[in-house]
Amino acid sequence: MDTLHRDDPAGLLAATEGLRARARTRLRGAGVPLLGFGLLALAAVPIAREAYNFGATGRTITSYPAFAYAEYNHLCVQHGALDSPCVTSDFDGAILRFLAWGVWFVLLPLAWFALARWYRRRGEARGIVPHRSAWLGATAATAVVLTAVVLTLAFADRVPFSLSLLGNDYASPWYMVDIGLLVLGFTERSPLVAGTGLVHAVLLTVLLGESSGGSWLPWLDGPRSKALLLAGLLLVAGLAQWAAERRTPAVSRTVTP
Amino acid sequence: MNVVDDPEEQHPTLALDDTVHQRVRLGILAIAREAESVDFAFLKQELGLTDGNLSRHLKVLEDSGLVAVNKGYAGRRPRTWVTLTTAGAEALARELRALRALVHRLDAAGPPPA
Repeated sequence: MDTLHRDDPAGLLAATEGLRARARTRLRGAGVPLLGFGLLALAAVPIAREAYNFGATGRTITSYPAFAYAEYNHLCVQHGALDSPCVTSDFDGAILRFLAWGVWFVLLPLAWFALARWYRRRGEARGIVPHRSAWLGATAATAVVLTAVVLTLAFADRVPFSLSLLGNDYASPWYMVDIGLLVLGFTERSPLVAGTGLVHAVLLTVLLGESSGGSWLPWLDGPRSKALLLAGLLLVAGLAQWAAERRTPAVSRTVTP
Repeated sequence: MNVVDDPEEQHPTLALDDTVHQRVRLGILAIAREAESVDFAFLKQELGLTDGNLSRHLKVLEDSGLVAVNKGYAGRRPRTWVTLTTAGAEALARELRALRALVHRLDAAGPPPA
């Protein structure tokens, strides 16, 4: 409120904008979601093959339940040649992959819900409670986008090229995190957070799209290194955002009511 | 009095609302705009006011229907939450528009003669 003593309209306008910016600064907290999801992604590195479904060539979103069912019942789905034994490796850990895919769809929304609660509790403690509308909007947008993608992948006769980039017709639940980060970045006016959501989504799409052993980066061949890269991106951005949020500018107040 | 119907031709000062144009009340509305609700203590700290002074300005805004004031408790501690109403958000937007128009007009007119 350093310029609110000025009577001229420009000064009043600048002071008002300054107050709004300061209030927004007090509401910021995107470093915590970035670090939280980064740590969650890091925890998934040891089971990256199942958790991210990298390099699962030839599977589709609709075939996963079928493969999981077949593996569960030891049903043979493919023979190498006529009268040869069943190719059990063809199951490809289908049960684990299917479960991991489904668990993320529960775990990630729960994580967002916990973060929303944290934002609210912190706001109540600080005396400035963030708008609920941004969170509701983000939830609605994410639900609509993901439902549309999953339904398109499952039922469309011809999948659009942009969607086929998802690779193996597999929609990763981690896009939920990316959409949320994009919305959070816009809400908190943080290019870093929105950019991280966008870069993570692009990277995830590229990594899902490439087949096993065909990496565009030789050192990135294998699910674990890919998962580590995704987790590292979130953690580095989270640390940078967290450091930025801690640098609260000192503001002098000279109000003459 | 010659009334100009076209808002574009009106002098921006005509769009300034006396209730909102007061600097502290404008500050309260500006802060409340950014959040769902703001605590009395937070406003007091941000605006550097005394309890009595802030209460007086909040009363004016509440009586004009620009903010809603809700009193409650956090444990044993009494807390007063201030929420911007739809009318308050519109009044703030009008005020900021008028101020911007005024600044624009003053900039276009150039510096005052010495």
